[in-house]
Amino acid sequence: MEREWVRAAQSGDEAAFGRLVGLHQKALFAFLLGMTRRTDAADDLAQEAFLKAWKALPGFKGESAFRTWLFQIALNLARSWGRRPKWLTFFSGGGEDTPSGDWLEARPDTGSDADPGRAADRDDLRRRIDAGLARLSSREREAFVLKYVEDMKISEVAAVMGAAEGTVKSHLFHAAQKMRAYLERTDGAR
Amino acid sequence: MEPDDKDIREALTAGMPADDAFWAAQRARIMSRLGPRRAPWRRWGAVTAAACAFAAAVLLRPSRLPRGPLPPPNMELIQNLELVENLDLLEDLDVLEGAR
Repeated sequence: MEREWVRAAQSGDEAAFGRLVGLHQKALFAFLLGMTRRTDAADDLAQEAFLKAWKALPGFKGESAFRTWLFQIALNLARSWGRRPKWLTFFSGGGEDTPSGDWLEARPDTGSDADPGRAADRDDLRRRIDAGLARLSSREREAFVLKYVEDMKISEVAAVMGAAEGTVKSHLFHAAQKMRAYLERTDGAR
Repeated sequence: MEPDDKDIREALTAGMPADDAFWAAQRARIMSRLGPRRAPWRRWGAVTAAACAFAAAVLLRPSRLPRGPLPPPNMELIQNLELVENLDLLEDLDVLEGAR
């Protein structure tokens, strides 16, 4: 089904492209949210990624899955966003682009725990995972988010990142090590 | 509390809009911004046309050398050059060497 939509969108069928957007928009947003830690940035970049995909679609050869190709576009945008001058943050709606506890507190709790104590525990864990994420290198974070948020296989993560599978495994190993160390350290500090 | 994959996923995606209206609005924004796109052959056509225009501009640009009649020769310079040729200094040196 997706292949037919891609083929139709390649020949200019906007409705078919709209179906592709509907199919991938949540996953793409989640990935960009994991990368940028800002909902406004994730929204902007997701839109930008789809528009770039629409323009570049006639040249899409189908050598990889459409999702992989779309995530490659989104990753490039996220990398550019990460390299932007810091002063631009001022003009783009605030300075909340660091994964701090404040940022997390502003977000709604999407969990469904009836027990307030358990909900607080989970909220605290989320905050620590979020802070731990900030301690990863950009490549470690990319691999980590693609693996944990999108549940991608190593081969697909490697294709999106344009890296060898061994490199991705190494990034994931170091990311997990750093994250575990940080969580253990902050668990004792509570 | 030891986090598992689910906890990590939840932490990373906390803040995801849960309202379907958000996704519908995002999709509508994207669809409204889809512009006409150039066919690949048209893009290559534009590149080729630009390259041809550049080549033509380089080839047909006016020469920097001045055009028109050549200036009169510098007679003083020509006379000096003839004098130097006639001196034949090397031959004179050989004679001097042989007379020693």
